[in-house]
Amino acid sequence: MRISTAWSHQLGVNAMLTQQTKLSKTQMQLSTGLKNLMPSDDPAAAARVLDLQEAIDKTQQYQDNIFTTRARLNIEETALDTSENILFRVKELTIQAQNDTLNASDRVAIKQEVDQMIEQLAGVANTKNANGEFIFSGDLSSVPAFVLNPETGTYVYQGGMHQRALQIGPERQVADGDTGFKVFENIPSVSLDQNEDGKRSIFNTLKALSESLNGEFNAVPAAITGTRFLRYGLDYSATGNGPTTFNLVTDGGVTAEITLNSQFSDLESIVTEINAQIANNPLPVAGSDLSGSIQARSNGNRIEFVSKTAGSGSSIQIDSISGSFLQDAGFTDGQSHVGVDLPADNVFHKQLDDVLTDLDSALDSFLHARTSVGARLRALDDQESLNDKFVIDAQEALSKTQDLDYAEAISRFNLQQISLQAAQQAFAKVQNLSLFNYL
Amino acid sequence: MAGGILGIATSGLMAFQRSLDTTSHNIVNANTEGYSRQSVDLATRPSQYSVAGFLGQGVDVSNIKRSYDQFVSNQLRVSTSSFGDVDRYHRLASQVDAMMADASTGMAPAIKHFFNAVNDVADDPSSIPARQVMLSEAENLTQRFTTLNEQFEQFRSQVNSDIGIMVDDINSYAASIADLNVRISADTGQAVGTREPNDLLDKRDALLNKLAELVDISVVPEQNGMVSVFIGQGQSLVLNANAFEVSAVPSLLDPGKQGIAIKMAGKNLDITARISGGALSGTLRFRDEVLDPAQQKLGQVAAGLAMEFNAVHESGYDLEGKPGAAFFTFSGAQVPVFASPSNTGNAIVTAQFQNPNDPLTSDAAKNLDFSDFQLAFDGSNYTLTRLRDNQVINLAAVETAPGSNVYNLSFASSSDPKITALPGIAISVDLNAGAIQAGDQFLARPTYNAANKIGVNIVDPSKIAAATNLEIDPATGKPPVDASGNPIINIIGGPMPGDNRNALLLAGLENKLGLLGGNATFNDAYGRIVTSVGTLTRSAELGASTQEALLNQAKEARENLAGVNLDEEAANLVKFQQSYQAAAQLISVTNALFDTLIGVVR
Repeated sequence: MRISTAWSHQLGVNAMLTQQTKLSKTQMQLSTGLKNLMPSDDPAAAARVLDLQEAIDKTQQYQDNIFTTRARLNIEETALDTSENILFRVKELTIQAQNDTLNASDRVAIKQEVDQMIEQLAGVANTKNANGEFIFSGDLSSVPAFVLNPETGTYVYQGGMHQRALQIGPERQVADGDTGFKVFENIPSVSLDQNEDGKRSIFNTLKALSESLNGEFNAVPAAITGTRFLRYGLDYSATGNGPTTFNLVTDGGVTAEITLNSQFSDLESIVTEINAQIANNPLPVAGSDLSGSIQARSNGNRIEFVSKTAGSGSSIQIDSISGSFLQDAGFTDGQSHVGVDLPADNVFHKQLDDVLTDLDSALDSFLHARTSVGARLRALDDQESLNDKFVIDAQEALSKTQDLDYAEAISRFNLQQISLQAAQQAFAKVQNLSLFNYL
Repeated sequence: MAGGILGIATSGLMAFQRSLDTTSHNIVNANTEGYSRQSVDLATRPSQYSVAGFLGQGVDVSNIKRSYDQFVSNQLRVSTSSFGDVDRYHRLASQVDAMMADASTGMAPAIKHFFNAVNDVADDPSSIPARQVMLSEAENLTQRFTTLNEQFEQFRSQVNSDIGIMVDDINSYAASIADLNVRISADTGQAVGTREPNDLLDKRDALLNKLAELVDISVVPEQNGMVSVFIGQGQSLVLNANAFEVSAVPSLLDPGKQGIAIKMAGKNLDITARISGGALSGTLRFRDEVLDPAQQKLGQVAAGLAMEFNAVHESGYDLEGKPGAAFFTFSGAQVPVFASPSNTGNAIVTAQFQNPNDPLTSDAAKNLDFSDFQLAFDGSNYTLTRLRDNQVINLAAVETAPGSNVYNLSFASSSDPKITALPGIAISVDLNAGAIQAGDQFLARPTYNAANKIGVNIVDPSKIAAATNLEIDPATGKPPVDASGNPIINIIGGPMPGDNRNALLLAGLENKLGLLGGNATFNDAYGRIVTSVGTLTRSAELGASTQEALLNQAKEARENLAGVNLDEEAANLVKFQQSYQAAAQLISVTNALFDTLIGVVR
């Protein structure tokens, strides 16, 4: 066996290079704290790290979403609490006003406080969140939820119909509020001027209270309201849905025929057009002015037709002739409504009794909303702790997958250092051995 | 017989001088690469018959030979080729591996940040800052795609220039070997018997080793000491005194891809597929096994993301209540198609990504495949071949409109039962410029450069379609119903700033198993690229260390046989010096004998 000098030299160098490579890898591991420096060190672990990091980031985003949702629900909770307190005060005032010992001027004094309460409640219903969005306006969050209709003097809901939800878990969405329609508008009513569907807005209830206290009692006119959202108009131009025609029959026989045949960019322009046709209608004879018997009105985002007369003699019916207006506006063909007369006696007490019942319904509605908000806040807490637990578990798994065992690495580092020193010393010793030294 | 002593002494002086020369030659060449230790064969001179018997006449140098073993040399050459192959492959693959590992260049954080920004828009659909962040993150995401793709392109140009350099080296080594063949043949002819030009042979062996580092060769000894060298599967590179030229040629269907050709009888013969072993093969394998698939798979993620995201975005409504535009630009969704230069027909073939919003192709992103596809026409039927595994899809041609002469190709059947649709692309053939001929071929590369083409189409943050504008009945929370109770799907024709339903759908795409046949999210698909590159690099690393050990064994065997040991040479030096001194002493003995004789006469 002979060994070539160049090769023995090379072997020594190779040994040192190998040791240095190992040492430098351990050093990199120690300085980064990572077990695997390249995906190729452990391809399966590399994929797992990507997965875990994604899962952690995603869950942290859910936690952010929960934080946002909670902040919004807390604002709603406060608004509902204030609304309840306002209604409690109104209820007190109503019961006080029912007392027959009060005279008219006492009642007017109470009315003035009720009017203040209406303003205050409208203010609460138009609460904004931190982003300047109206919290009760649903998905139309840029407009106030309730706006005063100058024509009728009542507040109407003009927000969106849909409440947005936020993603708080992989399969879980939670609504970050409630629409004003649901909380303030859609309240069961026993009063004379309840809507066709038996509901009345709390603002209308309060207005009825205020008027009653003032001694104003009005018979109820016939009115029908569409159910569809018409804020952005309808297109009956030749390129759109095409012309549409329908009849409005009012007060037992007076018919107005309306034909819409152009594009309407918003609800107001539809209302204007219909009212113009009512004022100049071909029926019963060309050019008839029926504006005294019927009127179209915008109710926030919807259209309503109201009879100009009130009481049981007042009636209104809508019939389709051609086109799609009835469906587009949310009416059914032949839908009708008859006005209600005032009761013959004890009008005041009847009105206030109805108001009290409706106030209780409204308080129920607020309570319902608060319960729902509470349940949602609870769900957020549950989901948050679930997410926290998941993040901790995932982080632990991540740490096990990618983090370095320092104790092991440092002892390995020492060992490799010794190996390198040994290789260097061996090299120096072996290379010193040469017969030429002795010649 | 003083003349006899003098003659013998002189022969010894000569022989030991040669021996000392050779030892010195060994000592100074101890570090010369490829040098084989030489030794002097000494032989007695033919003896002279005398009455007393055969009388020795001294010593002769019979031969100066090198320590050489054909088997050991071959072993070294084969090991060099194998190591050159895996080592080059490993070195290139680990560069890609390192690039994928780097958190600052990898795709995973960019995908994550983008979807987090989408989530923030879902939280706050009316917030312009949140929308602006989403656009910036989208910009960042597309930039990552293009940056990664550019890095892949840099690897590609590095591979191409490497191939060019290696081909030049092969040619220059082949020419040198042919040249050495001539000189060795001449020198061998000059010498008598088995005497060989050792240093030239060493030089040629070293060149053969260098050649073997680049490409696997087989070496066949010829007459007069020449060798012939063959590469690939028997294509001759050197035949005796002639070297054949190897060149890098662009592939027929893909000019960006270099192949290897050898010139035979004035014609270039493509031997790319037959190259095995050596750094050249390692480079080609890296390109075909690591670089191309990784780049195509990245393109697949980019294309899938753009398709899916655009489909959802386009079905939503922006802050102004207008229908959503495409969120990502995708260069017109056009798929590059190359016509083979050997085509005889003039048909124009175009392909584009399918639209997942079309109910017929809602699985377009799922069906996307990273492979390139070859479209062929056999005279009556069109077939589409998936080049990564050569699975064939049979196509049916349907004229778009009678007389238009434009045909849409649709899926008919496939050799793989798992393929049930076109791979996320629609293909049409326009025959207005001329008919298609049997044998015409086209290459469609859906994903190859897709990562480079993705961009953000939306500039104005209010154009992000976060809303669905779907009308619902607030009392029921569901879409309104008509008189007969059927839901009315009605889109509100104006801005709904608080509506986040489409943003939720967009954010949900992050979790959608929409890629790789419905098995992977975007992030999963990217993770799989990292894993596959990592796995290939890992096995290359193991292969390289195994081959290195084998190479070292072969080197050791050769070094042990042919390498110079300086201690041995020192000992030889002492031995030959002493012999020389002894032989010189013989001359002084001759002198003394002569003096004795003279003294007797005087």
